[in-house]
Amino acid sequence: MSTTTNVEQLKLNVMTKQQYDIATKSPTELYMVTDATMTAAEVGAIPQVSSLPAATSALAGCIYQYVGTTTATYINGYFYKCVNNSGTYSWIRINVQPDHSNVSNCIIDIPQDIALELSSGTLTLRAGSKVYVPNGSGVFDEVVIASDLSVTPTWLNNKLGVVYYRRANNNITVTSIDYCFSGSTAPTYADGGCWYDTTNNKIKRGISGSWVDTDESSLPIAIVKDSSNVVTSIDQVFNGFGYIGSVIFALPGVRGLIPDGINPDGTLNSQIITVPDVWVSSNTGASCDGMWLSTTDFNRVAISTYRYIEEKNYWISIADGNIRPIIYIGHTTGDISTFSPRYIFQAVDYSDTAFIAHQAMPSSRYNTLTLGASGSNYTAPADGWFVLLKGAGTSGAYCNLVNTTAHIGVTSDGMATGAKYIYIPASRGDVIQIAYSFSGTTESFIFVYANGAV
Amino acid sequence: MYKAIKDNKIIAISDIDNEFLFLVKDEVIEDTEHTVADYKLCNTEYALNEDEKAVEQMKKEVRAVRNSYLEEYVDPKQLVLVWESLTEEKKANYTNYRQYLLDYPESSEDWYKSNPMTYDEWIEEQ
Repeated sequence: MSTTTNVEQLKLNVMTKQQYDIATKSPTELYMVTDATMTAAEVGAIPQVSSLPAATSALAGCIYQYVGTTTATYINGYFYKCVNNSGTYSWIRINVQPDHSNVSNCIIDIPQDIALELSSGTLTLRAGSKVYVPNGSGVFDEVVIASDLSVTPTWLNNKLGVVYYRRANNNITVTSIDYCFSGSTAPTYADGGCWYDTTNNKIKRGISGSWVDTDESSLPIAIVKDSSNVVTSIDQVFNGFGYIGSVIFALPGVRGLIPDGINPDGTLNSQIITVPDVWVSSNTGASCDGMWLSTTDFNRVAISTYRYIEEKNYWISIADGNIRPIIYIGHTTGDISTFSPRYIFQAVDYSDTAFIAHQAMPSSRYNTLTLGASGSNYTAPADGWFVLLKGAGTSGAYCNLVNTTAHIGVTSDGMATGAKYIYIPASRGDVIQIAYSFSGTTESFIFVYANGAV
Repeated sequence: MYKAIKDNKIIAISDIDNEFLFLVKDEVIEDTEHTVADYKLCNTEYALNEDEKAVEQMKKEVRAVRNSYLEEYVDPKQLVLVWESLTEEKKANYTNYRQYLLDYPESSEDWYKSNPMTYDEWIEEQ
């Protein structure tokens, strides 16, 4: 900026923006543009509109947030910028909210495309829900459900159920998770089972003794819980991320901020990643316990492979020290039994102490475990509690639960009859040792997740 | 059935669980010849029922039950005041039941495969 003083004559030029753009400007004259439109940055906020105006040169560079009904062209809640493309102006969706300089390394958007409801044991997939049907190598057909579809499963027999859509029948069904598989070769035949054939990119069902793709089944859309052949809860809806067998997938529209260093002013730099298609990872193995989103894929890799360098805001590979453009999405296991993608980023209000305290309390989610011999160790998959209900068998018997990482423990002395509840808290990764002489029945042994770890 | 192995020891077994979630282990192997019922927990590991380790464990557990019956059924009656209040028939019963428990580990070759009788069960058999 320059300042000129002692000006003998002040000249004010009044013109249109078009005239201003082509005019030769003098640094000692003032200009008034009569038809200029302020940009979002100039007004300090993004205007919201329920319908976008015609894109013209006058609006070039303007950004609006579209808050109208989602159409084939515009999506409710997204931001659009007027751009000049060889003289033709149009609105393009931009993948970034105005300011992410204080946030990085997180998911910022998960499309809520699946609307699944449960009432009295009946599951209903609402019209307008969007599902994906694998249809040959690299092809996933997007299907928008035209009308509500319902099913009342009476065959799960206390097992978790996997919900999916069958395009050929235009209905939804549920298969016990024990009969859902994935892989390049056919599993042992299971009548009514569901196999994601990763070689041919088809969901196949076990019908009349063979695996066939005539149903044109979709990728799973949810996991439900059953009690005595009545579905009692929807455990997880696969908006954004899902799994079948040992395969995980990310769905179009998931957006995240990949850490990309620190700006000179100390703010966080990020690459915006938007999942463009269905991204599938069929990596398996006990060590593939982490889910990672990169600029090019969604993959399963051991959590211990990478390390986040907070002071530099990027992930590195521990093996070679090189920067990796990735986001950690969550924890999983070999043949997936736990699947915990992260939520989209939300700032915590420190004054909301009730919410904060609630995160450290037990949730209703748990995994059933097998109790090993005395002295066996267990690794906590998340923040939570190992809970054992076991009979002592004889009076004087003992049971110790020790968190060997946190150096805390609990001991129970047994009575000849009855079982005792014993539990110990554990942070994710803590190693718990259980030593016992209890010889009675093991009524249950579970890991209960903290609310904040669900 | 499936067996979780750690340091060459069988540390967990299951007829249905082939993953042994969160258990620290070296590997999981399938055993098609046996079921869980064929194995015995021997403190820090599992062994087949016929293994010496398992037999010793069973003996230990049955002895513990035997000892608990002595404490529960016999010892309270041996208090002088209580003992004097018993009929001669009951005194004889408790004396004989006590001897039955003490002799139990020598009563047969397979004594360790089942627990001794409770006092009520023993009385019914007399």
